[in-house]
Amino acid sequence: MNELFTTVFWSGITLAAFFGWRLIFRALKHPALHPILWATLAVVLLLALGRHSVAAYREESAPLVWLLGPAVVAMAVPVWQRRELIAANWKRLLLVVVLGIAFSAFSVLLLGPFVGWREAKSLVPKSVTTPVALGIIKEGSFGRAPQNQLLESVLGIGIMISALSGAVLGPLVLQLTGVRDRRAVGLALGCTSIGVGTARAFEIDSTAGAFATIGMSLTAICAGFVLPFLLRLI
Amino acid sequence: MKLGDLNASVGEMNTRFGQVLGADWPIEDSRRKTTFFERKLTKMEKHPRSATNKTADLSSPGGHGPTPAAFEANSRRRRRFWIDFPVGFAVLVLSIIAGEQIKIGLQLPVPGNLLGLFVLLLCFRLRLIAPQLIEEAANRLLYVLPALFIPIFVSAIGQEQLWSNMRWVLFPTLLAATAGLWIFVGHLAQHLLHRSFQDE
Repeated sequence: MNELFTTVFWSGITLAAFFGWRLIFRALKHPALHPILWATLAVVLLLALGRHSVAAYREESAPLVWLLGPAVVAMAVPVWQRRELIAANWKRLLLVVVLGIAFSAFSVLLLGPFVGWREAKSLVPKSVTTPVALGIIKEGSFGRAPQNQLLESVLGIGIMISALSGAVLGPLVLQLTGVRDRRAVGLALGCTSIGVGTARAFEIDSTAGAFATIGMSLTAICAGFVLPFLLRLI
Repeated sequence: MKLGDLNASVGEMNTRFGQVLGADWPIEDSRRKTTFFERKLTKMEKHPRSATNKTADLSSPGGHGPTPAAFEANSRRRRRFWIDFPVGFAVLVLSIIAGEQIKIGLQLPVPGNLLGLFVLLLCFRLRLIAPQLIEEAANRLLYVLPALFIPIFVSAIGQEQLWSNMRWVLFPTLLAATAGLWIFVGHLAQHLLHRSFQDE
């Protein structure tokens, strides 16, 4: 009973923190106030104040993490709705996505000598939507299940940095470097900064949002098939 | 078919059923016990104020109840939440299970949820499942999707040892790698999509 209560309590606190910050974000519309960043910090602060361990919180918020699985399958709906757009540009979109995955994997593997190969390998799917990325490192590290928690945390840091920076800095950097096409901006944010970047792209324009959804979904699909094999080979 | 006809056919069915069983019914109709179905029909005939009439009362313009549009919107919302969402969610979960089974069966090192996504797309393509059936559940899940990342981010922040060892390397290099990826994908997509526009 106590376990059920704490599970409901911490899951509820997490959702309340997120939706509370989302209201503030929508009212003030400043990218630095993105709800993911501040809701995460609010939960960390609450855990510190309540002297509640992070490991216990992770177990208690397991239902939320479990929901990431159905959320990946739910992406079938936006992909299906934009099937004509994907079919018309599939070669170009596939090229962008595959080269993007390769660039991302190569750039983080360069970190190997500094942070350790195991940690660098776990960062490879940092630009893939979280539920698929977790599946990739799980599949890519067969037989080494006890390491999964640590690798998940390293991956969590990578995803957090790429997602949050995408929401806060992404559109600005793209504008400064001469990327002005809304479709390209959407694809860049979707392929790099996953769900958070996609949400940011929808704030720019519906075209950017649609391309961000396509970029995120195609990256998840391609990376889900390619990266587990690649991680096993490395 | 009118209610009277339906009642008559029920009576006829009872007669035949009785004959088949060799029972002594149908005896006189007044002595025979009515079935639940017959009782229901009789009640409906006696009290024609059914659910539709209640709707009409609610939507009466002179009353204080909601307007017809508001009533319909309300009932649609209730239907979405209590019927469409659980059904759609069940389909999503079944797709994951199917994906996991395919993964185990074919021994693929691919996440089961991703295979589930393909199973669902295949079902849409083969018209086994209408996309509208899961639209409500999918929209709700994608709406809360960013919030579902929070436990993973909190867990990552909580790894103090990891942070203290790698903070000065990890943070700036990952930021630089991410910015490089934006610029690379952005320029590549801009170039390719612009060329496709020119081709058209």
